[in-house]
Amino acid sequence: MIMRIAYIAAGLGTVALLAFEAPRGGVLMRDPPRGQVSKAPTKSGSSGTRGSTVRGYGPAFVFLGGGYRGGK
Amino acid sequence: MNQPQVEPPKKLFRDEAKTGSIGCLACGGPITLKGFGNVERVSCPYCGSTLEPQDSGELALLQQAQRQRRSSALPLHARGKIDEVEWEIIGIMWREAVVDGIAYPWQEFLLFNPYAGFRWLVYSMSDGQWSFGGALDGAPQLTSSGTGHRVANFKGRAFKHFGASPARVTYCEGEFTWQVQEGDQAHADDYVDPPHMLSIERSQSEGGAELNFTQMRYLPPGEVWSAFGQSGSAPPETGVGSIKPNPHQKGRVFYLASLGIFLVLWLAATVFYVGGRDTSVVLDESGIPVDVPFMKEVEIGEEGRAGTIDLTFGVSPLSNGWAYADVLLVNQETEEAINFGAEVDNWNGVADGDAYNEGTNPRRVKVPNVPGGTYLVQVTPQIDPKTPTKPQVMNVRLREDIVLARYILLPLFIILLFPIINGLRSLIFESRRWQNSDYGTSLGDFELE
Repeated sequence: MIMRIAYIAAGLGTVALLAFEAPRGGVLMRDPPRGQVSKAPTKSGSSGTRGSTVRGYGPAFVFLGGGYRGGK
Repeated sequence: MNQPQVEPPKKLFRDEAKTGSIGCLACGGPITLKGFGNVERVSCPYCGSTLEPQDSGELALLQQAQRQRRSSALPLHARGKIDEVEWEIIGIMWREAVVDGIAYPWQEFLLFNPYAGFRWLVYSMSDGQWSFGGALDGAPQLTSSGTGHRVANFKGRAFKHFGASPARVTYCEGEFTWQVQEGDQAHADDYVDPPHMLSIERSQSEGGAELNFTQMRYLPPGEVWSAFGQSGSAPPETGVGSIKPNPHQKGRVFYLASLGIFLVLWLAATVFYVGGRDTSVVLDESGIPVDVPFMKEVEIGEEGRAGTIDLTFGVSPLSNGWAYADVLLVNQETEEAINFGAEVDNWNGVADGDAYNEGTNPRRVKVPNVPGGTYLVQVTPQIDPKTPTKPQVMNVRLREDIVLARYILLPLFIILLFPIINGLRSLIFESRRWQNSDYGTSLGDFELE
C-alpha cells in the first residue's frame, strides 16, 4: 500500500513539475547567485560608455553578490 | 439330508456407537473415537499400536508398538473453525518425501465434522506452509503446456506440475478412514495454481493400484493458529511455499492501469511544455577580442514571466590551457544581476605512445528562473597565463526559453520505475517458488500470469 501511495505521489508530482515548473526551470537546476552590481572604476578619466567595448577599459559592472534576489 | 449352513447376513451398520473412551489394548491409554462408522484404522496416540474398530464397537489389536509420541504442530482433538465450519482433528499423520538424500517432512491433520465430512489440513515442515482441502469431486484432465510442462485441468483451472516424489508415512496417531500404518508409501504428484494445489497420489494395495485426488488451498499461518485457538504465534514460514500467493501479482493490475494513465498525462504535459517554448537566439557574436570585456543589451523573455536561458561560450584558438568567462546579466530596470561563469579547456599531447585530445570548448551553461526584461550582458574573459597558444577571440551565443530535457525525462523515469520494480519482485518471488520444484531455477521454466 505504501509503495502504491508513493507511486501515485511521485508520478503526479513529477508530471505536475513538468507541466507547471519546467518553463521556469527553478526546481531541478541550481540557481546562480543574484544580487546588486556597482559601476566599476575606470582606468582613465573617461567614464566609458555603457554598452560599448572600448579597449583598455575594465568591465562596466562589478557583482556585489548575495542580498536581494531579483524580480519584482 | 443335511442342509448347507447359511451364514447370517452381514450387518451393514455397527451396533450403536459408544461415546465413552475405550482403552488401548496395548497400553491402556484412553482412545475416544470421533469418526463413527467411517474409521477403519486407529493408531493409539500413546504407544502407536495399530487397532481396528470392530462391528461390536470394540477395538482389535492389529500391531502392538512402543514408540515415543511426537509433538505435532496442532494437538489431536483440537477444534477449530475454517470456512465457517467447526472441525476436530481426529487423526495426525507425518509423512516425508526423500529427494536427493534430503527428507522433506510434512504433517497431515485429518479433520472431521459430522455434517461436512472429512478434510485435510497440511503443514509443511520444510517451509512452514499451511494448506486446507479435501478429496476432489471428480478427476482432472492431464495435458501438456506449450513449454512441455505437465498440466492438470480441473473445473476451469490449469494446475502446473510442481513436483513428484514418493511419500512415506513415518508416524500416525488417531483415527483414519483407510488402513494406514507406518511405512506405507505412495507416489505423489503435486500440481499448483497458486493459491491452489491439486495432488494425485498413487498407491499399491491388495486390491490393486489406488488413485487419490486432493485439492488444497493456501491458508495463512496466522489464520490457522487463531482458528484453532493456539497461543503465541504460528511457526513462521521460510522461503516461498509451492502455493503461497504472490503478493506482487496483486498489484499488477494497479500498476499497469496507473502506468497507462500516467503515460497519457506525461505525454500531454510534454506536448504542452515543448509546444509552449519559443526558443530563439537573442545574442550571437563571434570573433570578439578577448582583451576586453564584452557588453551588449538584449531583450530576454516577456515581462512578468520567468524562463530558462543558455549561454554558449568558446575561445579560439585553445590548446593545453583554459579560459573562463565571468558573465553578468544586469536587469536594466531593477539593476539586479545574475552572475555565473563558463569555463572551457583543451588538453592534448602524447602519453605512452597514444595521442590524446580532451576538454570542452565551447561550453554551454543553462540559467533558470530569468525574469523577462531588458538585460545588459557582460562577459569578462580570463585566459590561462600558462597556455602556450594564447586565444585571440571568443564567441558568445545566448538563447532564451529553452527546453530542459531533465524535466521531461524525470517523470518518465519515475512512471516506469515502480511498475518495473513490482514486475521484478514478482519475477523473483516466482523464481524462489519454483526453485523448490522439480524444475530447477531457470526463469524460463515458469510464466507470470
